[in-house]
Amino acid sequence: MAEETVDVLIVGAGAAGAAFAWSLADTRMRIVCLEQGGWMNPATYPTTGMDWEARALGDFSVSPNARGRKEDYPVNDADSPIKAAMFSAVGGSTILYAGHFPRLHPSDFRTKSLDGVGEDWPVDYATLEPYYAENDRMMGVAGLAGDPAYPPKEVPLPPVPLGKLGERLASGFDELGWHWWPSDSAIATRPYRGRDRCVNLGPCISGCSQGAKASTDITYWPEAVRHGVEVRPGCRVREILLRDDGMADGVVYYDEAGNECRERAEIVVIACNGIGTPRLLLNSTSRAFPDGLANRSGLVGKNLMFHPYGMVVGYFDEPLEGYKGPTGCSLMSQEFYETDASRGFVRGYSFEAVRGMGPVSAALSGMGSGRVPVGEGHHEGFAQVHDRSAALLAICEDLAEERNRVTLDPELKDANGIPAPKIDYRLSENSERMLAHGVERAKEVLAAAGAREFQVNSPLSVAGWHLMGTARMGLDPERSVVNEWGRCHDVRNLFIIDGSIFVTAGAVNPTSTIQALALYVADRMKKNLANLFD
Amino acid sequence: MNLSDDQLRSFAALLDEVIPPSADGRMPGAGQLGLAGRVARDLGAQPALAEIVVAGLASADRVAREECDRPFAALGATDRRRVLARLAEAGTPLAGMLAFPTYIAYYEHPEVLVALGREARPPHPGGYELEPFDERLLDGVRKRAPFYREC
Ligand SMILES: Cc1cc2nc3c(=O)[nH]c(=O)nc-3n(C[C@H](O)[C@H](O)[C@H](O)COP(=O)(O)OP(=O)(O)OC[C@H]3O[C@@H](n4cnc5c(N)ncnc54)[C@H](O)[C@@H]3O)c2cc1C
Ligand code: SF4
Repeated sequence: MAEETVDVLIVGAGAAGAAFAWSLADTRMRIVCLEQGGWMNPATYPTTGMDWEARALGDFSVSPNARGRKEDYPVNDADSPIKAAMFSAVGGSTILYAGHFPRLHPSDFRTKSLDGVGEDWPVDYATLEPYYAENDRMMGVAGLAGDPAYPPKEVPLPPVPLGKLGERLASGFDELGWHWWPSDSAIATRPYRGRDRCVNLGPCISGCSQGAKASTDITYWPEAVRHGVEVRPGCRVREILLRDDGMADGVVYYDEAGNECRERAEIVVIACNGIGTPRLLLNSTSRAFPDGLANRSGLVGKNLMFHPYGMVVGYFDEPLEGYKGPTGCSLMSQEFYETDASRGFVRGYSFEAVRGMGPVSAALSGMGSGRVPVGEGHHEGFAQVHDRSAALLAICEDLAEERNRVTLDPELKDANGIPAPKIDYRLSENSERMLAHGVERAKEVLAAAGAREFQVNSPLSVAGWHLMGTARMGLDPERSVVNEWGRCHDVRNLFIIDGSIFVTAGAVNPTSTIQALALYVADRMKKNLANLFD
Repeated sequence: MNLSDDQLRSFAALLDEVIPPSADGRMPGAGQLGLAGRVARDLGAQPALAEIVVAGLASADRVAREECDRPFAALGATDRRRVLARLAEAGTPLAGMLAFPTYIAYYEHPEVLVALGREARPPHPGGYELEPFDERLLDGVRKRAPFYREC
């Protein structure tokens, strides 16, 4: 049992933990981060081998249940049409993320005032803007200034190339007179801060062996470690301990060899993502908190938000070279982002373009849709789909609902015997209507771009990769878990900095905002060190 | 999944029914390509399926001998299909069961990639060249006034 007391103990080394640690490193406090996964070796990522597509379905699957690595914990997602997707490593889920990196919009922080749904955030876009900008510089964001869908902002790197496929889709949006813009992408399109430039390999969501995609193991972490932060890989936290005075005392964790260890800390910061964070809090029970730590509101684990995805694949007559370039980063559209009552739902969605599939994926997806049959007609069917597809994803804003939640599964456990999370999630009627709208509009764009037929997958079940809302921010301790700078209402030296603290989901990928929030919380802590626990 | 030489021959013939050679001869059949050993190895990870496949191969051979007096591997394409259709009717759609592992093994094979006009290499480190983003494409969108909601 270790006896030292560190100043700051961070649990989770993903997107949020990394940004936070880096920001706080300049205080010279003793900072330790416990991470259940290990450091990754990009030379072993799937794209370095001929079996790269098969591995994306196996040891690099987006689902922790399918991967079954001992670093992962299982998630019971049987009662959710959208399945959990995440990764456990130094770098967290950014090892697999696509790097699509848009910000939330100013309106996303004010949905209650503007549209009468959700809650307003206790922070706003203007407050977060400097942290978004700092994060864009640290992660190396590619894109183009001047997007009329956003307030003005700087973009450090030139946009990711559109390629033939992106240009076809852009022509579809132009034909309809709808907004599109090159995606903000956490991808180095030029050598950047020691990172190599993107060479357009394609499958960024199996890990970037080139080191061009901004996963935090190659962005924030090396700098944080250089500034004295200690990362302890292979350490899985079981529970957070409480002192008699109601303050967090530190954690109990299992090290790589399975030894039970204890780490005391003045400040505990949780960055385990929208499922891992409520799981840890719910696993940390005491006499003071029988229903889970910091859970006097009863909201820990509730209000789980994904982004329901409606995916439409369009098939074209000619090759699109869709295997060239980052899969999920080319262009996006926010034509349908804001509420328009005539559409039959509140709030809205973004479109994100997705490039084509590799030969194995084209064959398997063609098998599923009946386009690439077994036996007779196989090659003719394959020729119709191979390198002839492009997809649009409608990323829909999810509204917070308490019935959608993370709890502890009564039976399922991880490799250390710690109770695993269970998800209960249902699509709301609003989401159903929004998805249907998005699917129809996606078909219109694809048709305008020249697609001859479509394949619809909605809601996209694998797409449970945006995890939000399960320990939300707010000013009212009855209606929220943390305050306006991430401090738990109930435990004054316990902070949460990941997507759990989102109040609303917006209709864009969340990581840019997760990290901006983590930097903001770190900054507020630095400015308030003297009276942090008042 | 361990197969004897005879079983492997039947298995290769079966894979040629999952992905047959193309009519123009450009694309090989999955069995011709020598994927039997690889697919059999992959099936080892799914013992329940492997067991059904081994039993199915035996049935295919039995039916082939009963109806054509030859082992399944020695049948021409028409007879093979007839035998497989019989098995499918009896509840064992052998070719369909093997589609998943066969499609994977086939479409990552260097010879197939070359036949498709792709390079026979993993994506990394070569990558692909793309023209830089052409800002002129945005001329239309740029004319639009900002439309985010101020608040
Ligand atoms: C396939 C895929 C594609 C994605 N694409 C995009 C995209 O294009 N754009 C975007 O914005 N977002 C994307 N995301 C989501 C993005 O990865 C997450 O939003 C982001 O990584 C969340 O950051 P986080 O720090 O909250 O959690 P994570 O990055 O998930 O990190 C949490 C870390 O905590 C660790 N941990 C959890 N519990 C414990 C414990 N008890 N003890 C010790 N360690 C623990 C985990 O191992 C993990 O490393 C994608 C995700 C996936 C899986
Ligand atoms: S496309 Fe670029 S960012 Fe994506 S994996 Fe390849 S090199 Fe990395």
